[in-house]
Amino acid sequence: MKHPNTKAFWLYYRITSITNLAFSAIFAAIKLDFIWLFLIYGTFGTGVGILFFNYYYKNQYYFYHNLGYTRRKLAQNTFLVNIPILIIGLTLFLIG
Amino acid sequence: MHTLIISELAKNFKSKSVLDYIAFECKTGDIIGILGRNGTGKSTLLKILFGTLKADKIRVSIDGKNISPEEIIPQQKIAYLPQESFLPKSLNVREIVPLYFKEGDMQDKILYDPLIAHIANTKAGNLSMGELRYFELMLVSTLPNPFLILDEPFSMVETLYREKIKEKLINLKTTKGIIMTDHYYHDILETANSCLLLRNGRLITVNSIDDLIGNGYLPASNY
Repeated sequence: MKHPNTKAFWLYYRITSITNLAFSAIFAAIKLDFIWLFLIYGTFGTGVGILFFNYYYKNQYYFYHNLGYTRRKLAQNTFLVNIPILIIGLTLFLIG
Repeated sequence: MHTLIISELAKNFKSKSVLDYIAFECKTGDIIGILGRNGTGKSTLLKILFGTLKADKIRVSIDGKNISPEEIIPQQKIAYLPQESFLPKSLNVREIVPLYFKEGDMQDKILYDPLIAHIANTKAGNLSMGELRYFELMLVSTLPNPFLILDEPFSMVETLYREKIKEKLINLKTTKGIIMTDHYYHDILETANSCLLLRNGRLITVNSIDDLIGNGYLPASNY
């Protein structure tokens, strides 16, 4: 990809993460264990956030395509941000 | 000067052949208008060209180099204006522009456009159809991509903006190759320097209203 404008990616990330965070928080609340918030946010919840975007904002993908982002690239980047959050969160949780 | 060559483009939906080994080329300076009745495959053709829909078969070459359809978006050779709005509705015009352009002069080019300056603080979701289409066209056409694909740029747009869009397209062809489709055939015939009619999966060259009547796109009784 040429000259990626990362600001656009962060918009995508923000939209998918709101759903992800809500989903992960509900899951952690059901399990009554805070560790699930990180576990779900960095894994399954990321997929849920992306699916939510696919369903409710499908046409907005063209906004990102024009900037060189394919659907796959957006999803990959989202996981690349969330996996370190998962690792850091789990580490802090286990240390604490 | 850039050249986009499409050949052997075939697409079937189940047993129905929508695009039947289509071939054409677009160069910088071209505005190619594609007409066709509903369901003939115009949007399908454009989505395939942009790489968001898979063809059964296609060959794409840009400036003499073969390019796989999966690489069209990452290589940013083509910008695309889809039929339905693609902008985040909750953001205003002033917030959207920097998401597309880092450079201040590029941002100013859009934000100080006479038809955009007064809507800079309006959310995309609150723009009129004409304002929205014009702003979207400004965004995608200001990108450096050498080719521009427009899916119904005139549809539902009020006359003032239709005229401005036509003016803009004519100015753009000095630097880009443009492929567009619409049902507003007068606007297409007026703006394009080459018109094609998509019928039975094939592209037919048309030059006038008479050609459109002769090929069954328009009823003769109206003329």
